[in-house]
Amino acid sequence: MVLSTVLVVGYVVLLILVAARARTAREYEDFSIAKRSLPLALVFGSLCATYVGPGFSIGFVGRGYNSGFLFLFIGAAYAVQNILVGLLIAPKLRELKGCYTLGDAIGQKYDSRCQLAAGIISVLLCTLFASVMISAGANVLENMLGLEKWVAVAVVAVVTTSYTTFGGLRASVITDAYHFALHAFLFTGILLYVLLFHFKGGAASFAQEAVAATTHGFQTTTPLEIVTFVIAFLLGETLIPPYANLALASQTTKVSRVSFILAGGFAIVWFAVMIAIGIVARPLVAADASEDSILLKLVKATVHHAGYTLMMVALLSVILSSLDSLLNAGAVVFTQDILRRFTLRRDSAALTAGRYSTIVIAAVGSGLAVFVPSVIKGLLVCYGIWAPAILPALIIGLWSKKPRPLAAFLSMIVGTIVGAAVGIVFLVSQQGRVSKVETPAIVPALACSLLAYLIGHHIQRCLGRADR
Amino acid sequence: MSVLVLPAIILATAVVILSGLWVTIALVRAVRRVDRPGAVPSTEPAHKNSP
Repeated sequence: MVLSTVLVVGYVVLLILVAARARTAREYEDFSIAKRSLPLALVFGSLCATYVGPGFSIGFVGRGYNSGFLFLFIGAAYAVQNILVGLLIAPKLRELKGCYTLGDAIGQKYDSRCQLAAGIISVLLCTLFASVMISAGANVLENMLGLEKWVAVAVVAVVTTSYTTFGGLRASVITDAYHFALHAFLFTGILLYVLLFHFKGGAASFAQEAVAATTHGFQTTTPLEIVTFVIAFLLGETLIPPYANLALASQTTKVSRVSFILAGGFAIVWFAVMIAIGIVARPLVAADASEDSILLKLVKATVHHAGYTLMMVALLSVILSSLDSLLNAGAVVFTQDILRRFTLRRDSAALTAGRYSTIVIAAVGSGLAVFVPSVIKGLLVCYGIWAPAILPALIIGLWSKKPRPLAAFLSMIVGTIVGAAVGIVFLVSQQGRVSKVETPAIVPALACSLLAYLIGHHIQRCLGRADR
Repeated sequence: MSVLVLPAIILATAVVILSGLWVTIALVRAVRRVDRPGAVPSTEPAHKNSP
């Protein structure tokens, strides 16, 4: 217990020291997009640290244990998504002048009403994502230190909010780099340690376990499930506000492009390592263990207690690195797309508003965190809303020569309503049960959003003809 | 053929560790440089404005 507390306190002190060195943001442009000065390695590290959340660490280890390399093929869709964003969208975003958020980009392509709608949707989603991350971080602290749930929620929220409020995006990115280094060394360290000292049989035995798990994975997963997973991985997290902010804050358009392409490539090797941890756990962890507990049971069974605490610290860092990016992105979107549309034209007022917004989003997220049913279900609800609500309007707007505002507005409203409704219906209908197909909300909502875009496009075109 | 799976995983592990080292070096540089005035200017200002 004492060692656990020392390790956690040491981690937090180092985190605060790193964040303090990032210095306080003194201008709104510094707070929101780090004055467009972020180099390739930091944008890459922040992107990877943000997307490696509980699902891409604990979740993938569990999937590796049960389904072998099946989820490497499914996860490849996530890599493809990042590479496509890097090739097609991130440089276009970075080129836009005076653009601080996705809402700004949508506002420039359509009109201010669309920017406001995009801003409201983005803030709501950032708050929901933040509540899921705060809940996940509180679960780790509860397990590690035996704290009450509300105390754990408060600790996670206060620590993350403290440096994000003052340092803005730069502090978020620099602490993300610290977290990324922790993930990279600790998770690979676990894999190598178990392979060297606990896994018997070498390469042949590993291949045997991998084949058995992968065969089991393909036998127990229907093609429909595979397709829905691939769609969720391909679209669910595409350009959520923290990623968009990194694209906008990159030093150059080249940095913006290359960082997303490298982050996509990194996703593949990361998934391979996580799945391999799941495979080496097969002879060491009992088969009746739940998927989410495989990693912790493996670490408990093989590593000294201090190693277990270090693993918990790594999990906490996985969560905080996603949370700080979400808080900063939510605050910038709220200030830029909502407050600055009506008031707060001055830079200093926007900076102050950005700081207060960070605190408010963290407070609301903490309040909601108590009600989050499970991390994965919470994330899937968020994905089911984000992609249909924003992506059709954004992507068509960036590539179309004459995008029509009514089309974007209808697409965003319909995508949000259908995504939220389907997500809530699935949550309620699955209460107390575990569904095998967890990701269908995104498909009908995306179809409705695209249909609404087409309808809006044609209505406005017809109205334009009638006016002439 | 399947025996090559483990070496491929070791290679992936090495890539993750090297990525961690690369980002750590960038982090140390950023933390050292961040207090110097004018240390982190954008080299390419945004230039295209699309109506």
